[in-house]
Amino acid sequence: MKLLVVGGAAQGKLDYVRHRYAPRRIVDGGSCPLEEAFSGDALNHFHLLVRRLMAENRDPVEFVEHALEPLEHWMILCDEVGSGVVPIDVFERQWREQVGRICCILAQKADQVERLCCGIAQRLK
Amino acid sequence: MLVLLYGGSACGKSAMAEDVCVSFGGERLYIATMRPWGNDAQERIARHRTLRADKGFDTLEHYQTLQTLPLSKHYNTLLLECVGNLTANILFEGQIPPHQVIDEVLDGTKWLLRQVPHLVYVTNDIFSDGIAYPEETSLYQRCIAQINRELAQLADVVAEVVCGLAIYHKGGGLLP
Repeated sequence: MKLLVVGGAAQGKLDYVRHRYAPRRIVDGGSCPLEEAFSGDALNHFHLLVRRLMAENRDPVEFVEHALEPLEHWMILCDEVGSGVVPIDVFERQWREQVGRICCILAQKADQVERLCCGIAQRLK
Repeated sequence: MLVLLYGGSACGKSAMAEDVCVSFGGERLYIATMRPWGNDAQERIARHRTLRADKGFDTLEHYQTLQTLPLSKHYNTLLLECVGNLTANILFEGQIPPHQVIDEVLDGTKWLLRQVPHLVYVTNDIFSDGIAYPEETSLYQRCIAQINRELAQLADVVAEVVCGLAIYHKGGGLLP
């Protein structure tokens, strides 16, 4: 199954995925070696992975599409980051844009999309 | 019954909370938790007072632990506005660690649920702007997030308010 879980920061995404889908290995996109991002059953903090890729001048769309292509199963957890005032800083602006756009792509590829709000999951797809 | 209404600023959650309280009927009390400091706070308070002027609420200003809330009547419904302010007051004015702040709000809520038939809580979405805040602010965010999650478990009704409309995450059919 291909699963995308989104929601604001600290809404309970990781707890929810742990209990509902029991992934054996969860990789943290905020700290893992970039090439190992999709080596586990689930990838947490996807928005931070995108940020790190951009900081290294890599194209996150290309990176993610390439990494996901051979995979039949994936779970990706990502913070929603697009609801603030558009940042003045170019990098911050582009980061939010990229996270939003890639989540749209992921949602298209996913079999199932869920959104967490106050710890409660809502199925969007 | 606990009703939790969640949303961003100016989404209409307060007006909806008031209307929910009115629909429950009986005596109702509005618990104001925002410290009235500064001009914009005064303006917000004035706006909220006007908003609920004809809706039959008593008003009580209460900034700290819920378990000392003086209830002068047998109220049918209490409206707490809002979890974010109450949490900020307890976290930043007191010298107690975050997990105790969380316990205090939750224990206070459980205590209130034993005092009155209906509780309506307004709480805030401050989690989707992608900003990495300084530690003190980030701690505050995590505190409210955990309080929101635990309140949502406890609640009979959880709704996210958008443009004054409710997206029900729990208990959609339960309100009158």
